[in-house]
This record gives sequence, structure tokens and C-alpha cells, in this order.
Amino acid sequence: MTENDQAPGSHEDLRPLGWSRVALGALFLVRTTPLLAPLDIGFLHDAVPLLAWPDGSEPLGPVGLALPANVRMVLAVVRTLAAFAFTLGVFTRPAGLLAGALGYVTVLQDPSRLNTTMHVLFLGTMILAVTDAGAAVAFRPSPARSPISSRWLVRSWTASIYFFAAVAKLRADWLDGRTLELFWQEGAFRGGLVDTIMRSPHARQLVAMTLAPVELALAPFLLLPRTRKVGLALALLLHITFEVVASPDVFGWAMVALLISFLPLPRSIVTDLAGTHPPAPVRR
Amino acid sequence: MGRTGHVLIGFVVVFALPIASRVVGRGGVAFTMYSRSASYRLRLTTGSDGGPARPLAPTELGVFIGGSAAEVLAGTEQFRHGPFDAFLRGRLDDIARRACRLRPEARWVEVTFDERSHLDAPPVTTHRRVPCPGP
Repeated sequence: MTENDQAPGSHEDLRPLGWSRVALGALFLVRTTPLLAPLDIGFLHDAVPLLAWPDGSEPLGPVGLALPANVRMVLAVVRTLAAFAFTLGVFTRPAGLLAGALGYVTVLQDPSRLNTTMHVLFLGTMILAVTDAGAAVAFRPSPARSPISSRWLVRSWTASIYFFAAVAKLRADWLDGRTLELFWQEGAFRGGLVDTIMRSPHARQLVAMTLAPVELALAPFLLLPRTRKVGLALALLLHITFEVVASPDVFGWAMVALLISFLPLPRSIVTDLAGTHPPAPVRR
Repeated sequence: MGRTGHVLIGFVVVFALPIASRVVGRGGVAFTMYSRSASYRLRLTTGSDGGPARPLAPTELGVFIGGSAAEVLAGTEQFRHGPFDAFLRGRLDDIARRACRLRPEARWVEVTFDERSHLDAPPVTTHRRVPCPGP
């Protein structure tokens, strides 16, 4: 795997998609296996020995067929192997589709465990798998078929996450700060500054009235080339703030992994596209 | 996969899935990021032949079921803010059957589920009465 891998015969730089795949795949493994167990992070406790491993209880209402414990164990192991192959870029498409699908199948045996973070990890993995993300930064690169639509698919889906998050906040009880107060009272947010802000109804409202439009603006800002850098900076700032204030599972990290797909083309590739230089050689 | 496939998948994941989730399932897979203010309350009552109806605390039932159910049902005796409103509403019969197991002498279980979709929404109540196999 080399950083300069590029789709053969293509002038499109697929490295951002490739790195996005590597980052999301690594997070998939971090969230579903005990890789970080020594750090004793609270939201990763359910990843030991593997996420959705049977614990002897009979969960409420599994989605679909309730699978026997030994089948669930096998599926969790297969899911992990597939996620590993996806991350490395070996049989990327089938591996990613299998990892994402088995992510849903195993977690939906106990549907209350499926949260937004897992949805982003599982669906994001499947989406990257059907694109040309396996054509770059991969141990076994797959041929690129449609680099431009690949990039647009990943970018559009990522932008839509911000859009729908903003739309969900366009409600009186969110915009006036009462929903934020609810999360704060439950201890979802931490920090002295946060406490000071949340104690003031006016400050809560100001935060709410700022956050919703920022999220709403992120979708077009990220998708339009002229505003992409501003969009990326805003999105990063948003996730850093969330991480400091709330640590929402690995959600922020997963979004950053997806945001890699928005990174601008390096100058050398831009000149290639303009026809002033031959395409960069493919190194394997 | 080519451009057509990407366009079709894009339509599903960017539009169809989140919109359907918001319309049908309260946004479970529509990415809400700290926007939910839904709250819910669960009331359980068991009864046996000739005996008085007895309330059953959902927290106690959660501990009996174990695993994630303990977390999901904890504190739902009173209105609780959380993400499990649609999840619980869709599993009231299953909850009643578990209550039958906890109280094997019961002949029936009644489940009443009150929920508010947001802070200004009026409560909506769903009611179930499930017969138990009995002793």
C-alpha cells in the first residue's frame, strides 16, 4: 500500500476516498472489537469480546429472526474479518458490504443497541465499499470504474447527515434551548463553561439558534467547491466541540473519517487534469 | 459499480432512507444529533383470577430480563427522556410476555405506554392487555 496509489487510466485522485475508507474501517474495528479495551473507555465496554456478542440475556424484540448464540458469535467474527479486509483494501467491495451488513444483522439481534454511531459506521462502510474507495491506498487495489460518481456518492451522503441533523432541530423546543437543557440535566454535557452557559436560558437559546443554522449550512458549504474549505473547517470545529463537551461515542471521529473524502486535490493532480503533465505513474 | 448504480444508491441513502425514517419511525436512522426531546413512561399491571391487580415496576422487569433491557426500562415508571420511544412502542407485547414470566401466577398483564414526541407535544397513549399462560 503506497500513498501515491491512483486508479489506473484515471486522472481522478482517489486517495481521499481511499484514506476515508482506511479511517472509517479502522474506526469500525475500534468500535466493534476490544482493540482499545486497555483504555477502559465507557462506550467501548460493549465491544468486549466483540460488539453484539451474546451475553446470556434474551433481548427485547430482535429485528428479524432471533439467531442462536453460537451463530451470533460466528457472525461477529466474520464481521470483524471482513472489516479488517475492508480497511486494508483487500477484496474491498465484498468485504465492506459483508462487514456493514453483518454489523446490522448482529446488532439488530438487540435493536436497542443500534445507535447513530453504529449506523454511520455500518452504512458508511457499505457506501464506501460500492465506490472506488478500494482503488487507492489499498494492499490489493480494485479497478476504478466511476471515480467521479464515487466521490459524489460519499460526499452527498456525508453532507446529508448534517442536513438531516439540522432539520431535526428546527423545532420550537430545540431552538429555545429547552432540549439542550434536557441533555445537560442528564449529564450528557460536561465542563465548567458548559455549565455556566446551560444555566442561562438566554445563553442556551443562543447556542441552539447558532448550532442549527451552522449544521444546515454545512451541507451546501461542503458540496460547493468554492465554500468547501470553510465547510470543512466548520465541520471540524463542530466535531471538536462535541468531542470536548459530550464525547458522543466515536461519532465525531467517524464523521471526520468521512470528511477526508472532501479533501481538495493536490496541486500536481490539478495540473494533470488540466493536461499540462502526464498522469502520475501508478505505483504498486 | 458504475454511475447509474451510484445514483440509485445515493437516492436511497441520501433521500429515501432518512425521509422514510423521519416519517415512519421518528428518525431512528435519519441522524438527529442531540435534537431528540421525546419522553415516555411505561406502566405495567398484572392480575390473577379473583386477586387484585398489582402494579409492576418497569425497572424491576428490566433487571429480571437483564442485558440491555435493564438500561432501556430503567426509570420508565416516570416520564423519561431517551431514544427508546419507538423501540418500546413496538415491543409492548414482548414486554408483557416477559412480565408474565416474572410473575408466573399472573393471568394477564396490562401495559400502558405514554409518550411525547417532543416537549410541547401532547402525550399519546398505547394500551395492551396480554393473557399469561398462568401457573
